[in-house]
Amino acid sequence: MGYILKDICFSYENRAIFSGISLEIGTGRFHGVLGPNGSGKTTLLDLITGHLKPQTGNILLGGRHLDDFNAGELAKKCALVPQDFSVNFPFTVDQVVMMGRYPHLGRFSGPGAKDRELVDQAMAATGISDFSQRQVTELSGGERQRVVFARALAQDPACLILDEAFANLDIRHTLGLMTLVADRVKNNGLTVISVMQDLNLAARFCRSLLFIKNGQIAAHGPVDEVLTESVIYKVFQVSSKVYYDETIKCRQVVFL
Amino acid sequence: MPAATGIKSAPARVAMVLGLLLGGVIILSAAMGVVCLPFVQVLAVIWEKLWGQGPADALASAIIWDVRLPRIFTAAIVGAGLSVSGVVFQGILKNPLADPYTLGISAGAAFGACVAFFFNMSCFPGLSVGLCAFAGAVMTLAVVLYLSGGTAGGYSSGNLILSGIIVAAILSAGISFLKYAADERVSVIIFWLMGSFAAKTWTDAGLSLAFVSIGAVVCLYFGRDLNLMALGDRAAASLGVDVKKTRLILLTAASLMAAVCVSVSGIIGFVGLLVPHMMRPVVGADNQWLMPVSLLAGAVLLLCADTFTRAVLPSELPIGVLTALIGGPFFCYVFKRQFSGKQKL
Repeated sequence: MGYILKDICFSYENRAIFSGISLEIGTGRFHGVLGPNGSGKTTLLDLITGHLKPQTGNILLGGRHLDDFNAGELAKKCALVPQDFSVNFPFTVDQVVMMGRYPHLGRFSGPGAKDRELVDQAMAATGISDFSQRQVTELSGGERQRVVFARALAQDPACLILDEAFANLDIRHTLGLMTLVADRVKNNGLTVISVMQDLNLAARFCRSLLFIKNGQIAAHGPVDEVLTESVIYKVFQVSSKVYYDETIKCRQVVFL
Repeated sequence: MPAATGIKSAPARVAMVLGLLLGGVIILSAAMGVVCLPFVQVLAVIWEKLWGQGPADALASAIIWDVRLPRIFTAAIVGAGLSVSGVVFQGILKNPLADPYTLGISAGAAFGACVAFFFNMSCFPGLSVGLCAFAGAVMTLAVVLYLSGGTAGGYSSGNLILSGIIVAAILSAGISFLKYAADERVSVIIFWLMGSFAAKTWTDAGLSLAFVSIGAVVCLYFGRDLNLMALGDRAAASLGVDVKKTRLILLTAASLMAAVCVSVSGIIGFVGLLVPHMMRPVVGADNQWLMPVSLLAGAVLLLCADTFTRAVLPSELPIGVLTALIGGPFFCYVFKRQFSGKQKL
């Protein structure tokens, strides 16, 4: 499910973040959101997940106003993998992943066969089945990140929102999860909106990139059009060389 | 490990065992005391009363029905209320060291009680101590919620804990002042603060039952949301929880439970902190099971403690002192065992 944002203004107490941005995030694509620290990436995600409300402007999800969804409906459509994830209580990995099914369950009804299956699939896909009975408090940062990822997959969303979801992961798991998500985009029409820092990973897996700087859209479009040396300089003030890599058949960036 | 997971998969069994244990302990403690009565007589008296028959043995009936059972039920209900409240506070504040008193509920109740004692002695005799304690606790909750809400991170864990500490500190100073001003009559206040179930009536038991059961039902209803809130506000919101509203409802329910418990029995520490910690290794962290199991375990624990001080010790010790004396060292043990292996982060 895609989003349409119209004239969004948002500010915290006295600090303006967005002053009238409009953009369209198309359905069934892998979108990368890039920009320097503090440029408003996470705030943008908070707005589209409904965690924060814009002061003015409209956000449409699948053509319907975001305010018209109740929290439960929204949770069936959109899943979020947040940036900060710490749990102080000894839930097992299995319990945490099953929490992704809560929005689909009645308040007191237990998980059914389909829920169990989705949870097992999500754990297998993220490679955490082996420690499904361990407590999340005992896991390393990267392992915990995969548990949260599995929880979002188990939620079976139409739109998956990732806030630097690969930050703590080793390269094998990063590539594994990126490929998994990209496949679901291609085969199941999943929409993915991923805030990330690694330009090369974004270039390789995303189809469309959104560069944000100081709450403004610096560039937005297909990777081949917007991933250029001038855009990178404009957004990050870093000189770079963008080239086409023959081995992985996509654009890559080296920083000079 | 496999043995542990075997138990965890059946928290229902744990709840059942605790329920039976509670029934047993109630009968047992009704038989114990200065006058030792046979268990059968306890059952007979309860049977008589339930069917409205005349007492076969008037003395035994009076001891069991009018003296011991109200106290027993009050102790069990207060234990249950404090434990469920403890689970909820730890869950909402995302802090395993939180307890029902973290937001200053106990200080508020204590201040209310002190005011009642103080003016009872000088100006308005007949002021109900329990009622004033309850009012003090509710007002404290209101102030803490007012202080911690409103800003961007409304009712966030940090905001709530800080507001609670500030308000409790002010109230403690107030309590000290009242103690000082009360002069030699200070002992009444001090005894109340140490907590006791002595001379509880059916009214006390009924009142605490009403509040605790309503509070517990509300908390159980939001059990899943409490689980989700442990994952952080953003994650909980993305899983369909109205975080701010749910937190407010749960805080109010848990605080009112704690408030009525304190008003009835004085300040009984460590139950609300300890019981959730004892139960987590047994049934896991899932609040949907942790709450009912802690409810039963708290009831059993506080009833045992009260029976111990009433019937076993040569002279009665204030229950708050006893729970702190036993609970404190025990908590050190639990704390050391649970956290020592996990600081590798």
